[in-house]
Amino acid sequence: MMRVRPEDFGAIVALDDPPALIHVDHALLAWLGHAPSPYADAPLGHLSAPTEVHLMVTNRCPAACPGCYTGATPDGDEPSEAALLDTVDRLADQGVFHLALGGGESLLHPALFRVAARARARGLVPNLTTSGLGLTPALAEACRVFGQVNVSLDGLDAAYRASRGYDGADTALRALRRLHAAGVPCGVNYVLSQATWAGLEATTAEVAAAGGQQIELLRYKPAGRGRDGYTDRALTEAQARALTPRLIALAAAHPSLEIKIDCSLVPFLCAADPTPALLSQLGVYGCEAANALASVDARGQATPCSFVDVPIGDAATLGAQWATHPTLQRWRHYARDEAPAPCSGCAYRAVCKGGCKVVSRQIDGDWFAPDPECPRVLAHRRGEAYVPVSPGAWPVSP
Amino acid sequence: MAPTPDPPASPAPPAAALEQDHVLAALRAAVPDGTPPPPQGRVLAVKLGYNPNSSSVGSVVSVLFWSATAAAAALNLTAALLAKHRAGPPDAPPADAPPPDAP
Repeated sequence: MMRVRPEDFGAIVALDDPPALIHVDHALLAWLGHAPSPYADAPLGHLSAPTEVHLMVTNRCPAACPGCYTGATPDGDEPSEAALLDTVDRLADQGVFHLALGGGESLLHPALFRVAARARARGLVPNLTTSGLGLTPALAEACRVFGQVNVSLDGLDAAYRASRGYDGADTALRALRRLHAAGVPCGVNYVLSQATWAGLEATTAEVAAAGGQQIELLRYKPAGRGRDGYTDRALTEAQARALTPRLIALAAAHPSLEIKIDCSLVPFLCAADPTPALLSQLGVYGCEAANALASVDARGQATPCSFVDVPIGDAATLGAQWATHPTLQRWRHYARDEAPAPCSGCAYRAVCKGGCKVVSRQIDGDWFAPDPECPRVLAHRRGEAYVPVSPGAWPVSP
Repeated sequence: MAPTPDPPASPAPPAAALEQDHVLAALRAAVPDGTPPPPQGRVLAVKLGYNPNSSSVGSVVSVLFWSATAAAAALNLTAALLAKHRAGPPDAPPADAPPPDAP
């Protein structure tokens, strides 16, 4: 299946096999047999809609992880099936491609699979994050409706306990094996924190053995319960600098495994001086809140990203406000319009977008400030010249 | 306080491992051998894979680690993939198509 959405630069073409979002120019759009983009002569200056929306189907969860970014509880908020279906329809009308369903524990919502089916029927690809709790073999079979399912796994044994507060690693790995057996594309979300830093290689090996196709590394975020004791959990500067060499070694050890990093880790990747143009071409980007990304929480409120606890309004108005809402405009254009030094002179500004604003809010008390954990920003604040990380045999170094 | 010293450099991934790369393998499997790229226009960027993580946006970085050649291969294979999906007969661009070097 191929979907085409006109944009300033031409169009985004969405394919399912293999899954890809492809940015094409106007000439290629024409050759593909599609009408010219209406934005060619009247550029928006941003994407016409998010490519992806995170939809929290519930904020109920029995796990009570100490770092839960949504602050989920056993009796947390949960939207009705009708509300979720309405949101899916509106996002489809807006031209969104992908829907990332999460919680809370998403599997607790009785209408989860009907919501996913509606997304499919409307041309959206639904994807899912789960802890794996309650994922029976039958539910694993039902998960074929999703484009991909990722299971949260922050390490093995003691590392998992330290991160999540309970013994859940075996449950998560069992869920991964069940998904793989059911033929569902699957992987793992691994939150990098001081507690989980050491266990990355061992966990990756278990993920590969269990049939996972992907490990996605997420930076620990100060949101929800994660705001408490954040500095004791967040990666240190030395760990941030060590990330890219470690990922290269991990890729070498597991070439058949897809290694992903989340948007907030891009400043750490850029610490090793990859070629900026190559990052853009391969769709590696930092903060895309209010541009490629938007989020809808369990109360039906829209936010620029899942970690932002200040909504812009009801999700029903997201489409109408997409181009004009001042908060969305500020989030999407912060790096271009107002980022101060060192971001203003950084070669990675257009890719990184100033780093994670949620971290800036936590450390500096200001969403719109350079990411205070970026190695370049730390060097700048110490008055030092930045010394790039040596990634060793970084193959694409200029 | 200055940061602690960086860890030892990592070895480069072996070239043979590139053949096993999950992303490139998926692209190769989807594009028949000999599929030509589109005769006009460019792929500006490609974001591979879905993003099941419901908290933040992920980017595949493993392709980035192999080599610049592998990255170029990903873009070329993506262009060929589009050619395969193109609607209508080959070599017959719409009458209103802009010239190949149009901005």
